[in-house]
Amino acid sequence: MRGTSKRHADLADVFNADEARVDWHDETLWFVRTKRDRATHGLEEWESLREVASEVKHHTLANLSTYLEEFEQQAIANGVQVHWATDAAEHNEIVCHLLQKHGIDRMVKSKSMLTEECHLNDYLADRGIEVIDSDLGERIVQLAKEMPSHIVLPCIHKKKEEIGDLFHEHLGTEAGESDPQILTETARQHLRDTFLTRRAALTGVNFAVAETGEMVVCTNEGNADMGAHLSSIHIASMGIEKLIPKRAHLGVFLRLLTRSATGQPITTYSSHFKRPREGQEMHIVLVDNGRSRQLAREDFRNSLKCIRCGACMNTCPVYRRSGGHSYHYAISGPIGSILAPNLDMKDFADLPFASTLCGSCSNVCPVKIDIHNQLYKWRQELVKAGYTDKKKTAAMKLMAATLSSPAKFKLAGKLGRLTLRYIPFAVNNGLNPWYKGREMPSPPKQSFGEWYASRKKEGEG
Amino acid sequence: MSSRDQILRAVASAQPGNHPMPHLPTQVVTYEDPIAKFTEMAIAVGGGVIRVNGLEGVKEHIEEHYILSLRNKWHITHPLRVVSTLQEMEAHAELLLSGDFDPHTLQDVDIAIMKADLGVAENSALWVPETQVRVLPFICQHLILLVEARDILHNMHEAYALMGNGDQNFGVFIAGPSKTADIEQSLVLGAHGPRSLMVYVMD
Ligand code: SF4
Repeated sequence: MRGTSKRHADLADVFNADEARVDWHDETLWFVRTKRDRATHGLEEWESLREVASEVKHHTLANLSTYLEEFEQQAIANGVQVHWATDAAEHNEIVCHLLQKHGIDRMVKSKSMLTEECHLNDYLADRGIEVIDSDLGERIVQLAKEMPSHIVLPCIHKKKEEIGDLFHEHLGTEAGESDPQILTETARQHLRDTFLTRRAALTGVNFAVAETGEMVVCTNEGNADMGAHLSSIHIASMGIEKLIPKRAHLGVFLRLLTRSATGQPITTYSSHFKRPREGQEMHIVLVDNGRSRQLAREDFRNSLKCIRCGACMNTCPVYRRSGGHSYHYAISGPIGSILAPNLDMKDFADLPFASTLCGSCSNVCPVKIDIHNQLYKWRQELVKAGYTDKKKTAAMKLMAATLSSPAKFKLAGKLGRLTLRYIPFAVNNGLNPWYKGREMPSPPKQSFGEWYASRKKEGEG
Repeated sequence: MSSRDQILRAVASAQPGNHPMPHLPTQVVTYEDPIAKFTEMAIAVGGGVIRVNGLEGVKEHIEEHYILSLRNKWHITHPLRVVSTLQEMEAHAELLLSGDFDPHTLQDVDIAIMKADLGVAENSALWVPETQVRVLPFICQHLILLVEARDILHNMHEAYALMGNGDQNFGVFIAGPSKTADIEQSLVLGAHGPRSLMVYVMD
């Protein structure tokens, strides 16, 4: 969807037209966030795990070229064919060429946000190659001709009745059938047939280990494995930032990933692919597509630590109330808003503003990316580069001034609370560009400053 | 310049100065009774656990309870295709001792019986190395995994420490049956892989 004139605020308006749906979307994602909390609070070492993960990623990024070469060498020694793609177009060409070489015109794919980023499906469709997405959520959005709205929960914006209608139209279920059990069973039958009849499978990669040349793919459904193990050619597409140095580091990342994503202790399947099966070809496509550029941007380099757990989306008040599609980029939410402007500052200039900078994203991020700081820095970059409209620039300057002065910050908090309590419509109007797409939280009776002061007075502080 | 060299050069010039490799966490969760924790987690992720006395216990339970309750629960009336990669299950299953055949022929397997090298208490994940046929634990309708009680470790770090870099062509941690919650967050077991997982913990 790049290149459209769509802006987050306008798209959020579309999503917000159906208030009941917004509430439901908001609550569903908050529910996932609370599951994450339950899964993490029980683990005493949680914070130290996050710290180690963040440092491992830092170390990897600092030595990325060496680790890439090590990984390549090991993978080749394992009998895997390694390809390099500088951008999305080259990635798509490589995949297309591999399929054409084998005379294959139908492929099954498991979840890969990278191929969404590269618009692979459209590219292949134009060349007569059909791709079927096999993750249930992705299959659903594919049937609806939409993009995933969330990196972990692709069809979280869809009601079961809408999914029922899609299945009725495409897979022949009874009209009006919306029972998740029955719909899932229908998809199981349909996709089983797909797995059994495709000679090529493409998967994403969650982690790639430099020292062993293996790659790890995590799914709950088992779709990546069904595709890969039944295919005669397995293509794995990965961004160059997915590397980790050692196999032992998987212990850290696998403990963090799913607890952060859905609150599960681990995904059902964590598959370690090292060598192709007898008679099978295995290919890895290493994709840059702007990653080396982001690596060079000191302020935004940390965004390459992302392990795509989706926790920052589930917790984000703007995401929850504006929906993933309002971000008009393959990766939505707070992290998408940092990654997208790296690819195209003009097209995605609106995204770093689609945030309250509340910092909840940074608090939950398992690899400790300073997400809200980076969003704030992007705003400055984009203003400097002249990509923002005047209204937002003014509001942002005011905010910057407020945040830089503790006295003003206190006062603004107090005023903000009074305004909210008595005249909410004054805040919920077109003058406040940050209001779009979210509901102002009910204001606390005391500001944090007041509360802290009163605590001190009471002698508890 | 090839794309490879172009990317490597761009990365090399962009990457920040060296940053030390951190140590793995040292204070890591352990459990008083790892098998109890393993069982609790396995049930929480939709699996079943039975503690038995060695292989004999497994065979006895499969014959006397497992098959019957599976038939009842899933209303299965057709003859079951049961396969195993374990020589010891010869009397109970069709043996798969070589990988030299088309994996598609496993599409009608009802039950697969395989052995896990180790289990992890914190999340009930079981490490299943490639045993002849990679697709078997995914394509079967129901999966049975055997694990020795003494091979149940506390956490993932212990698992990787024990496995080292291994030399397996493929291996997978399995925790529970295949599942999805993609439709309105309603949990459904049996997305593409097994509809159920039974773990036999053998003393
Ligand atoms: S930025 Fe952090 S929280 Fe967001 S998806 Fe990436 S790893 Fe998860």
